[in-house]
Amino acid sequence: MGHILLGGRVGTRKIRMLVISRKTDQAIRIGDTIQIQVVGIGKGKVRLGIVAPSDIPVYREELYQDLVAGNKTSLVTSPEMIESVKKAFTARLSR
Amino acid sequence: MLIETLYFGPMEVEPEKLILFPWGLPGFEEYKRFILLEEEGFLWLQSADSSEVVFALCDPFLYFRNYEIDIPTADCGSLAIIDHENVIVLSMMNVLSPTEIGVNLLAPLVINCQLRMGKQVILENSAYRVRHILQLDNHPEDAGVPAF
Repeated sequence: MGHILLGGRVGTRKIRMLVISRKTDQAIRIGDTIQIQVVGIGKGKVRLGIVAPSDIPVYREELYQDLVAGNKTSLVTSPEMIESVKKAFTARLSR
Repeated sequence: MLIETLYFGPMEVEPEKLILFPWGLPGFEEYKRFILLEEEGFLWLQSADSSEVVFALCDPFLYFRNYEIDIPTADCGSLAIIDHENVIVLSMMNVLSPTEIGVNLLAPLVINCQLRMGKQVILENSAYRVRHILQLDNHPEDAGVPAF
């Protein structure tokens, strides 16, 4: 049950990555308040039970990545985009 | 304080007009201070730290009649929200083509106006998506969220 530590950064904070193996019903604990338990293991699929305080949001990673991608495409990067938004609302409001 | 903006030129802004996003926005975590610039019918969210970081926002309730959100407990806690007063909700827009604008109803920006602190909140268990098309041909009041 080894683990690998990988150095990395998110923003200005240093992060690490811990890789471990777990069997059904075994769990890991993050800090004092978060517990992640392997509830079941199936074909290419693992079911996790996450116990976390209600002030810590838990998201599916792909949803979070959708949001990151959405935000990146929402960045206004050209004067044409500015004009498009202005025009859309001007047209609407002048109705 | 003077804020550089790429498209609107330099702007003198009162420091108390800044809105802090302590966690940044997903994908833009390093930008934490923003100002809201009002236009007719929508707003610009301009970073106070980089002229090149600017987003277009709108009031989703104005353009999507059936829109409703339940702000997760975790996020209410983070933003010290205790009731609906002093809370504003805005959605990020995305220019898909010169005539088509997408609106992110899945992850609205929730701002505690009293604390001037905001966060992009993910409505994980909702049926909303990152991109809903703003119906430009409709009157604002006719634009409902499509049925799911």
